[in-house]
Amino acid sequence: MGELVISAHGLGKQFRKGAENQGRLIELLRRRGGYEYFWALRAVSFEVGRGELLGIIGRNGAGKSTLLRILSRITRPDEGFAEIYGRVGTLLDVGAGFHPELTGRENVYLNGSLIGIPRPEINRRFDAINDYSGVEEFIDTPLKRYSSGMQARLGVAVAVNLPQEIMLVDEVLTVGDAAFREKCLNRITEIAAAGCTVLFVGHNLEMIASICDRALWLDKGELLALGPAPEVVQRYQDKMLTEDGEQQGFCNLAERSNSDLQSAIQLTYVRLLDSVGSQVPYFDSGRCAKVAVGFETRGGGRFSGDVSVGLTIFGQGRVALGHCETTCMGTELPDEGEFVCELDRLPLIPGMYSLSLRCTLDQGLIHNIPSAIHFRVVGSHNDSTGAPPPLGSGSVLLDYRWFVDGPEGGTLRGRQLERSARARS
Amino acid sequence: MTAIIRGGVVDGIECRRDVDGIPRADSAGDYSVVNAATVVSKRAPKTLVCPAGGLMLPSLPELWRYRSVLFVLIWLNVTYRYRQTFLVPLWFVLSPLVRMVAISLLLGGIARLPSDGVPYPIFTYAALLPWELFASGVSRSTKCFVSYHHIISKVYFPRMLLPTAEVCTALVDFALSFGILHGMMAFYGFAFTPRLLIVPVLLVLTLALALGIGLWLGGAQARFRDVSNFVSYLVQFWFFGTPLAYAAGVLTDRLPTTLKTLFLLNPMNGVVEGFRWALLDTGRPPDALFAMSAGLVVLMLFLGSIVFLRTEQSIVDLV
Repeated sequence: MGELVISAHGLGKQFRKGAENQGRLIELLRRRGGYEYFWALRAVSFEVGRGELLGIIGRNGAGKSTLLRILSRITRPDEGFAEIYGRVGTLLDVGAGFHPELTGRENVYLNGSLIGIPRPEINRRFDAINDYSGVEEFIDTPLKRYSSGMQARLGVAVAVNLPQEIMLVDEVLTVGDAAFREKCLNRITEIAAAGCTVLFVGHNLEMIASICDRALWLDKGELLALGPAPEVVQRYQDKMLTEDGEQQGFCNLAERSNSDLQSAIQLTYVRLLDSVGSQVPYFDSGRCAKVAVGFETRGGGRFSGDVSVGLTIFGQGRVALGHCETTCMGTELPDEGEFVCELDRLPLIPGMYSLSLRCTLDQGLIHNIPSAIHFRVVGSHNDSTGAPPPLGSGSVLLDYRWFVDGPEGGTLRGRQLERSARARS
Repeated sequence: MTAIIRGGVVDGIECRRDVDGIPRADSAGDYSVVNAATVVSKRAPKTLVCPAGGLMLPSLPELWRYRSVLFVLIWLNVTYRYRQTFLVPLWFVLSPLVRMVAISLLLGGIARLPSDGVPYPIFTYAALLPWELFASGVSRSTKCFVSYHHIISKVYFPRMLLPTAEVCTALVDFALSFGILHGMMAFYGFAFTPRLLIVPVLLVLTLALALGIGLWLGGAQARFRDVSNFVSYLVQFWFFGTPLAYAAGVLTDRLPTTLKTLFLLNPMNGVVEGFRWALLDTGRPPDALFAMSAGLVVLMLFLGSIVFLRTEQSIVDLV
């Protein structure tokens, strides 16, 4: 880390819970005190060097914006302190410091002045801002006639064209379209390269992993991790998918099943099995995988009915990747047992996945359990199939084989991938 | 002896930093543009962000550094108030004019109160101008944290600039009304004398009083919205306690001594009478009592700013 720009020591911020009306005279007469407080931020310490691009990630309510607000001096911490060297520019919200009645042009001056830029400097940069925002046609129209996307573009344009030594950027970039986002990111990396320090809150994790030097992960107001961005983002993503905690390859469904308990068939648990049927904590990519769903039938005696079970596999961001459904699991079931779904060759690349379960009885849906279990897929080490797919190139493992076709035939050496054969063996 | 320890190239211009890590700028002034992308101040100022607490004095250097915000806020207030209105310039001056007409008709025309031999309209109008400045300054600055919450919760600047800007905005109205007063003086045959030089002093005193009260009450308004209701009554009472619609003599002749001193110690009494003295050659010239009330105003402003700085620290969380 270069020269120190921000050093925070045990920052904490408390907010009061409950309605605001507790300060009324009548309330004071009735009882005194009795506010409930919670820590929106607690014991957060970190250091940032000059020119660094620091991403801040975490779930909603993790304290990300509170941290930025403290560093920008909008609000004060309740404990700890921070030393900041340099002027701070903030971009906390779409149209922060904008006034709806003023025109776009006037707002540029308003906003620029509010972040402490002298007027001649704004004059000098005005054309660049106007050009950058892409709302030139409407620059003399009152802001209230702008769409929210246009407002955001103008706000971002002001901030990135009048940068300060330290920029605190909240998740404003999410509003623009893809092209504008791209433009912003390029600009921000440029600014950072020129020696500005940028603290960047975002939910687009891949973007944070790719543009930030380091990432800071906040959870419930506490700092969970601070380190190289790709690593922290990876850990955060893993945590997100295993939020409910089961990593053992087993999940009890008795509590989760949202069907009525009167139905004739109950799903009790789901577990992950390998090819020989022993329970595993994770699957191997491209290997045999089995999902077993435990069931119990009600009513005693032999059960009979038209039961079908289906499971859907979801990747990150709850993108459905595939579905396995039975048409009819037979008409006779024991009192208890397992439905087992066997995949010869799990077509998933390493990562975190989840699956949901459905169960129908006589064509009527009796169970629907989203995210019944989360599971990890790891790469098989003895699998000599070449390079893993680059990040962001999908989640599905394809069966493929490259070869060179020509007058004399031939094969492409070294990269000949015969996964299917190997995986089945 | 400049060693480049970190540089960045944007738009083809190099950004250099010294060994001690403090960015150096070549040109003078608070700011200089090292390259097209980066505005770098000459010294990287150190800011300490720490929990609220303790009493402090206003930081004048910081207020000065943010002076452009003051002008922007004033400009915002002025332009915003009259956007999408039809009779733009009229609204700036209407309030004292309407009051003048009403007072002149009722008190001057029907009740026939004495006005020290000056025509009633100009007698009361000269007093209403500083009064409007004061009254609108107080009520505006009391409400400013609530009405500007959307800005103060997103951008940092010294919060004291907000009530200051509100008070100064009232000065814009005053300036326009003063132009009308000028016309009325010509109409009634009054000329400007060197006594006019006292007017800026009176104005500063009025602004200081309005700001002093605004600083006390603005923070309270952030917490309890009742305050602005209270302020409107306060201003109403103050209106009748100040010789605006009547000549000071009407009351001083009938009041017991203690109340009379209190009446005269009212800073707005001094200001209003001073205005009449400077413009119309009547009223009361600035005297010892005036100096005392000016002292009170300064004390109030001082204490108000300390109280305000204490509230300021948590004002965003309170509104």
